[in-house]
Amino acid sequence: MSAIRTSAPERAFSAFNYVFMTALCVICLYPIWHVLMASMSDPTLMYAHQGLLIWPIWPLNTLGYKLVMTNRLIGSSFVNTLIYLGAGTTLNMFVTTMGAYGLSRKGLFWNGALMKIIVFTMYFQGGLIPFYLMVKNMGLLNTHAGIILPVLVSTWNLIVMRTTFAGVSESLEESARLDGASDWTILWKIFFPLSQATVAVIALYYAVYWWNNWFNPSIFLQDRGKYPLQLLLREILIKNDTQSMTQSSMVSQEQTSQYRLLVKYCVIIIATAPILAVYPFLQKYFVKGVMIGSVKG
Amino acid sequence: MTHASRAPGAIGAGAPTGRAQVAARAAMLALCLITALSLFMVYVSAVEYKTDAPLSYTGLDMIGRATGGKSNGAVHPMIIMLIAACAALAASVVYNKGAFLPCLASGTAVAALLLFRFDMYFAEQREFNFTSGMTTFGAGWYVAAACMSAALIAAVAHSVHSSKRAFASSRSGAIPSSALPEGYKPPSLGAIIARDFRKHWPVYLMILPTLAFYIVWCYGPIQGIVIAFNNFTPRKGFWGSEWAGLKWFREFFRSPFAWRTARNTLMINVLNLLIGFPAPIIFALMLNEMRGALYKRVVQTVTYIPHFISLVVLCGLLIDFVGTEGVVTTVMGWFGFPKNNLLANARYFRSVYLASDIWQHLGWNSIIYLSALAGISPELYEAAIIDGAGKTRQMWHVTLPGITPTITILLILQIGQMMSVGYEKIILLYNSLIYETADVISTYVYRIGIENADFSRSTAVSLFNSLINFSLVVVANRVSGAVSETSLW
Repeated sequence: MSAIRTSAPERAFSAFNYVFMTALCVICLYPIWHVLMASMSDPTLMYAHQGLLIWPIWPLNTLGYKLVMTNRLIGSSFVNTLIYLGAGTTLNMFVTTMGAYGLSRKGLFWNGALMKIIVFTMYFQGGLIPFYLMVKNMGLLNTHAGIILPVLVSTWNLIVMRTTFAGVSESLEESARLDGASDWTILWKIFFPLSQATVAVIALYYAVYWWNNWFNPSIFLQDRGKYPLQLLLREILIKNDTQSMTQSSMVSQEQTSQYRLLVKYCVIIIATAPILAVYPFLQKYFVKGVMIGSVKG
Repeated sequence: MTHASRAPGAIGAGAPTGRAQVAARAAMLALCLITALSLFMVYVSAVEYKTDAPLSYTGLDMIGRATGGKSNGAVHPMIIMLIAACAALAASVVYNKGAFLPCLASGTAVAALLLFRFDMYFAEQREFNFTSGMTTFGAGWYVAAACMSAALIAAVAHSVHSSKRAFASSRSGAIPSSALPEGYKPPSLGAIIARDFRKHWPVYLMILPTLAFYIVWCYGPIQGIVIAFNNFTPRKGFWGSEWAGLKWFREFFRSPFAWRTARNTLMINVLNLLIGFPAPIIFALMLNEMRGALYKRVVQTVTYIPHFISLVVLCGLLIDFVGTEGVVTTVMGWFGFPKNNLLANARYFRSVYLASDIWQHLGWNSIIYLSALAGISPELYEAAIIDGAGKTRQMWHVTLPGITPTITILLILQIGQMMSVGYEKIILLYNSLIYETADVISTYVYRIGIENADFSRSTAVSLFNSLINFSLVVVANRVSGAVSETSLW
């Protein structure tokens, strides 16, 4: 590399650095690797196994995946998550974009006050119970709308988007207005395409929220048919409720507890795989998002 | 107070001259002191504060002891709030940055006094008892109320005065009125609003859904906070239920949960601040020292991955890994640790919580520092090298100052959240065996509110929590603005 001489302590530090970073990478990846290997292992041997797992325990077993894939609840919760994710993100983006555009316009009499009203809610909220009671009073318990509507806008995302819109060149807007464009046209034909990077990041943030969302559904939903994937995962992984999985003609009675563990591992893999599959393609947007978010609102 | 004379803008003083400033400040401090003293008098004069409650271990029982057992260990929440407000007022007067904090603090104190009175009215006699016609109580309350009202008026007057001055100086560049044609009258406020609406209604229409969201889903719950002060029954609604004064607050403060949950919340946050906060900074600094762009990229990409594991899956993994025969427990067994289920033992909960948090977010949280590091001009390093600085000195005098603003902003955000922890993660991880260290205020709110449907009590506890959070954000931001010129807003 460079010809600059390095002292002994510096070289020692450098060596330590490489070892440390490699170890860190191993620690970050190992749990996922462990689960992946365990999910393919023989359930009886796996049940007795302790400690690290570098390779699957033979004979390979795919029954766990079969059990999970053919489970009706997993399928319906996956569909539910896609519904929440699709409808939720679309609505989120629509409302947030319009609101951010309006609030970013200069010279509007009420905008200063409106921003204060909005920013205040970042620092002071009603709390869990009044929020729950609001949803209940509106008759939205146990409905899809009750999951989506209460989180229609995220203040942080709104502010980020508003900052981006405020930075779009004013001359573009003026020339569009001279051509007779309305605010609606200016927003969707000029501002929206020009701010694509931010739009992508914000949409991604909303999508991630919907993918991970389990808490609100857990207090608002009773009907298991409306559960999103993460809430079902909670029942399986945290509450240890794997009955619906292992009650199958494919598993004998005495093997139930062994398959319980296997099913858990398979569920983890199936629920994490989609994210890890799209992650390499979206990484740059995620990183960009952190940077955009750090801009002062 | 010697340094105070160079700070601009005195409280309650029109002209920012040294002598008037010192006098105003001394007056404000005296007001705080008198309020606190008279309130203490009121408190001591209570014939009996509580009678039949079991021994409390609120951890805040100093006043209880100071009253010689008259109030055996309980603290009225308003007393705490008032003392906090007086302290904030005193601190802001000494610190002397603008008029916002004095306004907030004295406003809080006045609100607390009114609440105190409100509580007296609705409290059952046996809860908080003054003999009728007692002079100490009456006098103490009136003195405190008068002092705090005076402080509030002074602070507000000062705030109005300084904002007027700021407005006047911002207008000084505009066209002088003599240059305007004869007979010109500025439009009235109503005309301005009407014209604004005529011109911009499509834009307001676009804001409408957002506004509706905030009114319904953010301010709706905020008005629902009223149930913290009444006996909420769903049939009678938010406002129709019977008033209860500060019953729920008092019950919370005397219950063992107050101390336990507050302590756990604070402990987890302090640990997070001491260990979890610096970890990504150190990681970023180490990564920054590495040569070889490719290896660096690989490390970054790999350490980001845990961030994308969903919380539920992470907790599921964790429960499995730290179980009696889990991977982590087994590996720790090699180093001589006993093979226990870590999540069944209250001693280990904080470590498990913190370690898993660092594992999940270390790489991700370092992104922002890495970009700040990349923004430091190489010329600074070259200059430092020419001056003979070694690696260590470069680190201290170039690298660290370069990322200090970033660190400050994130620190403010962190301190602002001191009293709130990610309750979702704790709800997923904890069990009744480890409530002693795992139960934080927000999980307690969740348990009594959602699981036991004890709505009013739960709302009171969460209101107490969010008030502390709110003041923490405000104070952290103000202090940082005063100290380092870096603030959030």
